[in-house]
This record gives sequence, structure tokens and C-alpha cells, in this order.
Amino acid sequence: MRYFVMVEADADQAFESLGNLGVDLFLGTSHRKERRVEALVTMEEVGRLVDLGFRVTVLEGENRRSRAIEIISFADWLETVR
Amino acid sequence: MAYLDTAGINTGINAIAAAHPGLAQVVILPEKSVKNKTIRGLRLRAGSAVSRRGALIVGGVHARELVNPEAVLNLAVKLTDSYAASTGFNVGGKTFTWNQVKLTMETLDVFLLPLANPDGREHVQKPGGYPMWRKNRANLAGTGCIGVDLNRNLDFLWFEVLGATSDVPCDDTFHGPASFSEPETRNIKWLLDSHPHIRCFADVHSYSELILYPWGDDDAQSADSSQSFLNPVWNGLRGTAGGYAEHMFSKDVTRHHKTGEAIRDAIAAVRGRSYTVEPSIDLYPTTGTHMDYSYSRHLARPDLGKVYAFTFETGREFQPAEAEKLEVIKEATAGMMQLLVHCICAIDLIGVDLFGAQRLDDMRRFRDEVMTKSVVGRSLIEVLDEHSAEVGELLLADDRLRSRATKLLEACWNRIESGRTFDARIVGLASKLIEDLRPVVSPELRRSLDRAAKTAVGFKGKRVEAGLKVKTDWMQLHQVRSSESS
Repeated sequence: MRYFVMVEADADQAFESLGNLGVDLFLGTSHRKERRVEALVTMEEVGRLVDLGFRVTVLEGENRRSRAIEIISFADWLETVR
Repeated sequence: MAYLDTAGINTGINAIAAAHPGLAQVVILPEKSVKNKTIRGLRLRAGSAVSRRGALIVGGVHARELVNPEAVLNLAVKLTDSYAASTGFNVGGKTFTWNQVKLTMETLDVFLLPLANPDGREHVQKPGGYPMWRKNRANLAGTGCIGVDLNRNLDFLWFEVLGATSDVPCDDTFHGPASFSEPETRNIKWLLDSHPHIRCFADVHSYSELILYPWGDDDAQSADSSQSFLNPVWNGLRGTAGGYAEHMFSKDVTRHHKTGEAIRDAIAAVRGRSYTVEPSIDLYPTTGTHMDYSYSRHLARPDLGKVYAFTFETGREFQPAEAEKLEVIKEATAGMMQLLVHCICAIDLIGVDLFGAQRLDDMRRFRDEVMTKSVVGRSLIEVLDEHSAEVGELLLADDRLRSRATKLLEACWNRIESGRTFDARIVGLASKLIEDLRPVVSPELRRSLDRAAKTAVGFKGKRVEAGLKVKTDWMQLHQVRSSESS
């Protein structure tokens, strides 16, 4: 199980170092000036990030944002977009 | 909450081509995915123009970003259905006119690759798979890890592991064992190599409501061309604050930003959400991306044409629920269509009806073989290139302006073809057009028009070669070519 989180850093250098920690960062949500970025991490990774001095806010469990399983046929899809 | 699966997307590609055989052709990419799936795209075009600009739009690079392949497919549906019915189309509150649809289809080659990473999507959607998978499904022998981040695998500073790029195989942003190690990215290279007329590119991702443009490795600067991805002196010094910034000509920065703003405005018209337009580096440093690779190609190889390149980050989550998904599809469709409109060449726009394909091709040859040999000619080409989108939009919106521009182009080309001198009538037509345009254009275009007006006066009473100050005799060149082809 992984969690959608917001990771925040106090300093530019710490924020830049996030990229080297092997966590699943969502580049599109980051902004250098604000030093914050969303990520998808395990609880172990949350602990590691907190130990390294980052603020981590858990937003949601990944299953709350997973809508991949239900499949639609092209014919039905076409009706919904037309 | 349902999404198309890989088979459904392929069905859609085939169905669009079958429904509109004269408008849409299936493109089978040369390399299958790492799990041996055939990868399909579409080429959309209408009319008989042989020489035209191309545009390439790619979706589904990151597997979990489910909405974008459907958005690319939706664009194909809208364009082909609308062209076949001779109508424009709406996406939410945004309207694209019949003129825009017609010109897009008749002056561009539109390449659409809805799903670049079919193995990844299959893994995301299958029972027992992982709904938040990002990479492809390459088995990285000897590592115990699976998958390469395809949007870090291209040959743009691939060797520099910056910020949101990793050389650790199990990481979600692993850039692969080598640049272009993956068949899925080699397919993108093939599309660009095989269709060198492609001038516009978008890689459609999720999420965050952004329109990004190059560079991704560092800030852009226009003062020092030696600070370039091509210069190994700077290896290891990129992506950090201070010291280095990636060179980009200021006109390209402006062109990217202005096109991005037009895309943003088209998206905002759908339902009011405002995407942010910014260079990719403002988020986090990256290397090996589709966007930077596509734009950088003309710098690495000056014989290649320039590709204006963008990354879209659509919506506010990877897999939005049904109602929101449909809105995001509309937004992405509006953004992609606006990019295509900006890709239209202003000369194509007014020349396609007037001259037909053969004479337009002659005009392009004149541009490439005569105008480029002259300082005056190159400056005129630059004005058109830099402001093509703005001029195109104005001409599409105003029949009177379009008529004036058409008359001027027709009169100029008649004199070029016949070897006659540019007379007072031409200068008068040019002056009148510029006078009409001045009040409605941006300050940048107004300055360019003022310079062009001074240039136009220099042509009065001269043949085009004398006005351009070139020795190339277009008449002679043109006649030799005509006799060769006959």
C-alpha cells in the first residue's frame, strides 16, 4: 500500500536532494520556489523522509485514486465523448 | 469510472481510419513494445498539398496517466468527424471553427500516437497489476527491477542524472541502461526522423494543469551560445543554481511562451480552469525527456528543422472519475487543437485555396533556394516564422484582412514567376495591409511590420532578386527545374 503525500523542504538544497532518494515524485506538482512536491510513497518511505527533515502530509491512500480496473468498449466510449 | 484498455484504443484507431479512409491512415510503428505488442498511431490529413508541416502528439507514455490516450483519440474523432461534415466543433465552451479544422487538415500532417506505452497500460488495468505503474515493462536483467521511465530515455543529456531523473533501476524515474534503449522511445525517434517536416510536438501527461516548454535541464538564457547541452565542458554542472543556463534564442523562448499562452487560453475556455505556462525547469531538473529531445534536434543537427515542443500536464489526478475525466478530455483536446492551429504556416493559410499544392511547393522552393541566400530575405522569413501563429489567427478571424493578404501574396508571386519588377501597386498593397494590421497586433509584431514596411519600399522598381540583393536567378532556376520535371 502506498499513499499520496505532500513533501515539503525547508531549504533549496534539501528540496533538490529529494530527487536522489528514489521516491515516486510527481514532477508536475513541484515548484522549486515553494519547495514542495506531491509523491506516492510507502509508510516506510514517509518515516525515512521525516527522519531526513522533510514535512510529509498524507493526502490519501492510493486505492482512493485508482480507477483503472473498470474497462469501457470503444463503442460505448465514443457515445460518451460525442 | 471506466477507461479504454489497450485493445479498446487499438480498436478506436482502426475504427477512425475505417470510418474516414481519405482522412485518417493507421501508422504501424516499426518497433513493437518490450512485451511484443504492435504500437499504432494515426496520420490525419486532407487535400492534395504535397509539401506541408507536420505535428506530432504523443499520449500514454506514463502508464498510470490513463486519461491522455483517450484525449488524443478524441482529437482524432473531432477532427475527422468535423472535416467530413464541413463543420467546426466545440469542446465545452471552446469553439474551433470550420476554417480552423479545414486548414489544420489541409495544410498539416497530423501524427497522433495515443498510446506510446501499451505494456504499461495493460499492467495498470489488469487484475493483479499495479494501478499506479509509471514505466514501461522492460525486464532489467540482473537487477531484479522492471521498467524504464520512457520520458527520461531519450538522447538529450541522457548521461546527466539530474533532479527527477535516476540511474537506479528500481526507481520510478530510471532513465534506462542507455539512451534509446527502449523500443517505445525509438519509435518516437523514428517518427521524427522519418517525417522531417514535423515542426510541432506535444507529449501529453498528467497531472497539475501545466503547459511546459524547454528547457528541462536548467534555466534558459539567450546571451551565451557556448552554454549548451552540446558543450561537454559543462557536463556535471547543469541543473544547479547558478553557473550554467541552457542557451535558447530569445525568439524561441518568446514563440514557446506565446504558443503556450494560446494553448492555456483555449483550455480555459472549456470550463474556466487556468493552466500555468512555464519552462519545465521551473518544476524540477530533468534530462532525456521527449520535449527537450524534440526541440534540441535542430541544434544537434543543423540540417534538421526546428520542432517547437511542449509537455502538457492535464487535470488534477492520474485517473479522474467519470465526470471529471470527460472534462479533462475536453481540456486536453482544446489544448492539442490550439497547438495544431499554431502550427499552421500563415502562407499556407492564405495560399492553399489560391494557388494549389504545386504553386505552394514552388513558393517554398523560392523561400529555401533564393530568400535564404539574402540578409533581407532571411529577415522576412524570420518575421513570418516568428509571428506566423498571430498572423494566422488574425487572418482566420477577419475576412477583409485575409483578402488583402491574399491579394498581396498573389501580386508578389505573379511578379516573381514572371520576372517583372515590383511596382507601386505592390508597395501600395503592402502598405495598406500593414496599416490595417498595426492597430490589432501585438507590440512585437507591430515592430516587425514597421521594419517590413521599410524593406518593402526597397523593392520598388526592382525585380525580386535585386530587391533581395541576391545573384540567384529564380526564373532560370525555375525553368531548368520545370524542363527537368517535364
